[in-house]
Amino acid sequence: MRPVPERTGALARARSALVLAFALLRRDWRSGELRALAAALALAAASIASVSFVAQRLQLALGQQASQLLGGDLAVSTDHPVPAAFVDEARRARLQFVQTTSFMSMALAGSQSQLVEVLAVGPGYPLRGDLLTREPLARDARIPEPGQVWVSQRSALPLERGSRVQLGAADFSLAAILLRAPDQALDVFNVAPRVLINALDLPRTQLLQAGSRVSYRLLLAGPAAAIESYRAAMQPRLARGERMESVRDARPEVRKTLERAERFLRLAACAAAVLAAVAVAMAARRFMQRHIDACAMLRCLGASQARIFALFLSEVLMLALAAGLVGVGLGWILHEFLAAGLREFVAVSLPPPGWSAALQGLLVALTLAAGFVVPTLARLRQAPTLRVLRRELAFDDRLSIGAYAIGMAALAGLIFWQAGDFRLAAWAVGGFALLAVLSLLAAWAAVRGLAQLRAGITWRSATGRLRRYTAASTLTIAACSIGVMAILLLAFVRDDLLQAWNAKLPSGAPNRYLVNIQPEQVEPLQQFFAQRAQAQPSLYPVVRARLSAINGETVSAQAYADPRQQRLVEREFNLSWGQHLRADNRVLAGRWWGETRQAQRRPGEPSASAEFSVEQWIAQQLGIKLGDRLRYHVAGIDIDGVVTSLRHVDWDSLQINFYVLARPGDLDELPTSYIGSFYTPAAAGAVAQSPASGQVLLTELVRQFPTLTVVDMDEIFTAVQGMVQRVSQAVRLVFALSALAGAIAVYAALAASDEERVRETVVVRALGATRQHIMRSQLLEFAIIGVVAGAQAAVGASVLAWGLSEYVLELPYRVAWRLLPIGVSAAVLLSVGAAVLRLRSIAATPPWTLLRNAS
Amino acid sequence: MLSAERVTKTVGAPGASATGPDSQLIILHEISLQVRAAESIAILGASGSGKSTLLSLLAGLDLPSSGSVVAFGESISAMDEDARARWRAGHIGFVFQSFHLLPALNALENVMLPLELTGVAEARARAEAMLRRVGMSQRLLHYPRTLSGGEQQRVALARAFVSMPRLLFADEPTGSLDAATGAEVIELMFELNREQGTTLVLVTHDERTARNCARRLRLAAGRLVGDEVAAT
Repeated sequence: MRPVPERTGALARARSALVLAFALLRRDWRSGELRALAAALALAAASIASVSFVAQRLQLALGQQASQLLGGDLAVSTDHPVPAAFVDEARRARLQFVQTTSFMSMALAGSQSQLVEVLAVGPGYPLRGDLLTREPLARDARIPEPGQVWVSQRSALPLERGSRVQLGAADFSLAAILLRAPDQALDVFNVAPRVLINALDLPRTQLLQAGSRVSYRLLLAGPAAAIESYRAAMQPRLARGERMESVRDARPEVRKTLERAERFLRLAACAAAVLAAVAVAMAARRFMQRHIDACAMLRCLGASQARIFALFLSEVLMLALAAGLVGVGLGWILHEFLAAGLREFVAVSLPPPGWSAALQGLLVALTLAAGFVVPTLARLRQAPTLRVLRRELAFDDRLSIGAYAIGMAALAGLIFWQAGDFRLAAWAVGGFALLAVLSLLAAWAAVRGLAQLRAGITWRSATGRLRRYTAASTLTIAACSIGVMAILLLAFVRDDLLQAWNAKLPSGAPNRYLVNIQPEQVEPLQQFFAQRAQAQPSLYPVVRARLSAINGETVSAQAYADPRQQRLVEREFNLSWGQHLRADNRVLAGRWWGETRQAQRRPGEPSASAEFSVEQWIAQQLGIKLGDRLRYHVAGIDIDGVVTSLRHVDWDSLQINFYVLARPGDLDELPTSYIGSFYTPAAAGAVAQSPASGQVLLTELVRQFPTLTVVDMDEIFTAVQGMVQRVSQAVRLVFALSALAGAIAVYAALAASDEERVRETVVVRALGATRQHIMRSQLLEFAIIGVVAGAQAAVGASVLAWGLSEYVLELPYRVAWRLLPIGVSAAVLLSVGAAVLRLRSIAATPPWTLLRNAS
Repeated sequence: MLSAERVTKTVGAPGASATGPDSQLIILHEISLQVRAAESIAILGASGSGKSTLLSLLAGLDLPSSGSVVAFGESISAMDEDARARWRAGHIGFVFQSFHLLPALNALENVMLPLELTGVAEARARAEAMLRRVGMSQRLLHYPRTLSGGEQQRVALARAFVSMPRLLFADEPTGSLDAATGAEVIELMFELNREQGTTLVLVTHDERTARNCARRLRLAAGRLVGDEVAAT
């Protein structure tokens, strides 16, 4: 007989091991022993996958929503015609694209004239968002036909369809009144009423002459990955006067809203992951308990420890794979429900999620199985062979914290991977680790302390069980407390945070901005508001200046690697000044000049002693530190000054704010204009209490001050508030998933102690205990678990909310004492409720039936 | 003091239709017997003969399908579950093959348990005394998992006798022990039985163990096939 080659032998052994593992899996599945573990793993996969599916789609939708403000997913903006390379690359990458040209010009209509922003567009515009006109358009009309003009309703021009409007040398017919255009009002300082024309009409106007200040834009749209690779490919090819804009580069409040949305969703995903891990750990423990005898039998039959380990590992991994697939499917179904709810809130249609969310779900199931089940398998292989003969032989199935180290490390890795944000992940890992340690200590102290109390048999058997199974009790308490913490965060803390967040967008926030106010117009403007009994607009002086040197070194864009920093350096700064630090500003370093003796420089003093207060974000971007000397160039004059303070600015206040402020008097005698803001009930096209009065005021204002540009912020407000609404809705749903995961973790914890509970019930009933006694003793045990878990949950939720408020959301946090009674009540209800459901059938079954099952 | 009158126990046969002729499996068939006070009875039979089921019915752990069990003048088969639990707490002691000590309680607490269930004062002192009696005074605060099989059964004996039951049921008490330890445990059990004058019902398949009892009932296929009284 020929000897079997070694390799074939190894393959055959591996194959037979897999077949055996599969047979074991089938047998265990039929006997119901794997269901708890499978359910926990499937839940883990379902939670992560559904959160990832929803988060992914929501992020894409929010991105698209924000893209509507931009008119596309990405824009290449240039001060000269967009180079052909950018268009060619867009064509090659099969992206949608359209070019726009905009410039300021006077428009004439009858006897009226007004400064307008002319935007010439080609077919396909806008790529994202819609043009909204007062009257419905013809079906195919998406942009003005050649010879037509669409005029913004904010214009002071007579808005009658068919009337003639002259732009430069060309004459147009007014075909539509524009209520909303997507890429409008992104820059407060460069917006005039918009006039839309067809790009084919541009030459006819003869307005594009040498030296004309024209903005060219190439708007791009397409799949996120394609946009990202386009950006990566073309970013290095940007020359001076060329830049790329995405929604993230747009207004700070939009950027912050998106970042917050992502953080909230990611945090919720982390909570779900932790809860699922607790459930898996609990189920794994039960798996181990139920396989001790099978293991002893296998060892008895001659299987080595390594072989037993490999066998059970194969079984668990097969199970994890199957459960992961089921979980991903469940996650998909679940997320469809969530998405259906979200669709009502998201104006754009939800884009389909990518495969990565499904892959994440699957990987989570495998990771948790490897991290939390493998240590128990390692313990299991030590099952004493003698149990085959003496089943009552003790097997210490307790696992040390060290055994869970792999699982915890896997979980931490999972959180870092899911969060994708180091600081947030560190917070979450730290928070959960702290909670786990506190849980352990509190449970240990509670269990030991309570067991010392002299009381009746009910008390003693309840605390006795807690004390005997300290590890299991602690895990139960931890699962319950994390579940309740998720509920507290969901039901109360979330509302508190969102209220604080919404409160940051006050209803009386300015919604109109006035730009290009000349110094001589300030007084008449104030009189205008006074005559109409309107609140005076807040007016701020503005000097447009270019940063030319930091500490004597000439500033150049090339010195900065990041295109955003290059852009910031190249742009003109709006310098302003003020005596007092405003409520939405906070000095982070240095001193405000109001606090120094030499508060104000007398006019005529040399400009060398100027002082600047710089906003922290821009300071960080440009590498400006406290004490640095800055030189600004204003209309041929150099202004030198020292940075005497760094400020935090609350951009969410939507008040006019400045990156750089100068000490009062430092910028005197320089060409100055004013900008201002005021609140008036919203105009048509936005939500309003009394739109008519607001509109009348605006029309009169424009007629009386035709050179003034009034910027309507309602569109931006509506967009930002809409996003907040959608984010809070998404957070609610995602936290609901976390709470569900928590409830299942508690259930798994209960199921893990089922066998011991049945055994105990049997014995005490045989010894004459009534059902009442059994229920009392076990309910007391769960009430104790509930009280300890609830108190922990309240503390945990408060700490987490504080961390979220202070470091993530930058909101003030107030300690909510009500969380303690609510948390304890919720946890007691949860644990006792779950116990009643599980114990009722045990207590009602005749003891002999249980006795036989237990044996 | 304890009697069974035409006691039958049937269960649904696995795989049979609920109404078919073979739907019910007869475990015990019309068993009648009388147990007198302070008598010791061994129930003998092969595996599956129904001896443990008979014990469960006599001890009120389960209900007969027909017939009745009367103890101390009361029909326990007519009582509800809680009433039977109270009856057990007042009159009955148990020794199981698998000991069934509560893992959450130490030896002393396990022995105190039946006393506390009936609200007996000085439960601790009595439990300690009983554990000393069974030779476990050095192991009072040990948990079951740290005790050997023989030690666990000693604690179980202490738990069974501490409440001075009128009736003691023992289900294969040496089944989980080696021969030498089993013999020690049986000796101890009969000593305690004699000291307290307890009525003992012992289920076993071991003739030698059964010989310690004054009377031996034999079961085969659910029927009582023998009732022998040992020669004194």
